[in-house]
Amino acid sequence: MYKKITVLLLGAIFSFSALADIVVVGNPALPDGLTKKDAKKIFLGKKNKFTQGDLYVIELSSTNPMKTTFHQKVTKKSLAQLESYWSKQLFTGKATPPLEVADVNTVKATIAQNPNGIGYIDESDVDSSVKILFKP
Amino acid sequence: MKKTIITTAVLASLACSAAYASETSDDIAQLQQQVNSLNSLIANMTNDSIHVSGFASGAYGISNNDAGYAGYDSDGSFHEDSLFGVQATFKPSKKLEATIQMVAKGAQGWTPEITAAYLGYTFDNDIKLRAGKLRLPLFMLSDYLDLGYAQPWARSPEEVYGVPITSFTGLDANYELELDDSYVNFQLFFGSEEMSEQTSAGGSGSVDDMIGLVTTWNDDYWTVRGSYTIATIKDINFATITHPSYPEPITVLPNIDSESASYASFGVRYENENWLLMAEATQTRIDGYYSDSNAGYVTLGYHINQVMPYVSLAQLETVDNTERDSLQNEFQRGNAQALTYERKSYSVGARWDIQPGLAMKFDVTHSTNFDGTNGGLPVAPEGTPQEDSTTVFTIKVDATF
Repeated sequence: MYKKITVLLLGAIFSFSALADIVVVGNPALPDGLTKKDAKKIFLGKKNKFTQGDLYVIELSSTNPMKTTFHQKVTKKSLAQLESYWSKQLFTGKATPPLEVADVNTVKATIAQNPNGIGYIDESDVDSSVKILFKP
Repeated sequence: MKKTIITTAVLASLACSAAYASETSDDIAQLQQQVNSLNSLIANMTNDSIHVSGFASGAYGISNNDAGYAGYDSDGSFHEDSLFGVQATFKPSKKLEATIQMVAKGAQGWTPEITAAYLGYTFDNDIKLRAGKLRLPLFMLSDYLDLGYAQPWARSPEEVYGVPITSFTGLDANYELELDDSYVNFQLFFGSEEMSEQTSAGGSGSVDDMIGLVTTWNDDYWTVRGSYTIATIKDINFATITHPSYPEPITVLPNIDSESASYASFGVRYENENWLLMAEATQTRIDGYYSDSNAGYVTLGYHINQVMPYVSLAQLETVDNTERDSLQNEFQRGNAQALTYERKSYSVGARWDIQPGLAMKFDVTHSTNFDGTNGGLPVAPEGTPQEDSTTVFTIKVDATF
């Protein structure tokens, strides 16, 4: 029982730390020079000047509070607006939504294994497996 | 989305087993290993080639009378706005895709209908070509008319979107131009379609030689869209009846052999963190006695946390009323008066975003100003007076998954 509570408390602490600075990170093989405009376009699955659409975007699932913060800053969309946007893109055949993963560790693991991987994590979670492309 | 679910489920089960496991470092190391292998498993699930997703709406509506606005009467119904849709997209390579979309609607007895089935190919110059069955982009929302979740209202304005065909068979070309901080999208399409559903006047036939161009400009907040489509309406045949005044059986309206038609639309959408504004004006023109109409709507909404109250005004009016007066046959001329109509509809409602992918809507629509016509609603049965206004109450849940 106590262990259950510990797990819950740890969960609460992890989600609290998500309120710190969020950075856009990518595979170390990616070039530098990602702008805010590019970041916005990339996370909305749009054409952008940074790449020719070869990026592999990793998104957090909606249960992760970092997603709300990130999109407030970068795409200026609420979760509901974002979901609505992607459903429209998907069902009109314009674009498929990015892969969604539950936590930062999976974001890092996926980026590390994909030369075109790009995602966002907390700055304190950055390590050698990824590189910072942009700070919103 | 499916992967997230799997990941979450596995992580949850890991978390549970963690909670019960004894706190030895061996167990923790084992767990760490499990998490690592799980992470790499997910990482390797990249470049997914199949994407299955869906949308559903469940609605109940009831009207204060039997005028038939949006299909509702005073008994109420769960059927009219309820539907279930699935879409599967296969991407064998980055350039090639195959998509199939099926929608089953309560209003059509839940019989699944294929609303899209196409092959798409993206060329090196970013032009995307699609061939097969496609959504017919006559107006601003036509592309995703069944996707209630992506719309603010409980029901898209009937005045504009009560059209008999929503898909066509043919091909289209899409090109998107990236400007500094906005995009211009061009869509050119060609095709034809059989009208499987009957037209509002009860005939069935086909729409041939459709050619249309859609231009959309959008930035973070604005979408401005214009489109123009020409087509030929062919072989519209109406029911034949025997009438005491005529020796031979007669069709209720003159059959249409072939007539030119055009559809024009201009729409604007603005949405920021708080406000939503949508407005569209459309024109439908068909040569001959068949209704030519102007329609449009304006909607204003305001986000208060998860709830967005809205108000909406929509109107529909036929503009070629004298053409029907020149029909030779008196019986048919009488029936054709049903093709002359006008109405205004006022809606008040709210959208409540319960969680991403799930929204609930409440709507009251009052339709009036028929000016002596049937308001474009079904003709009242013999002996019943034609209503001159109606109010429909709707509660709806829209989901996407």
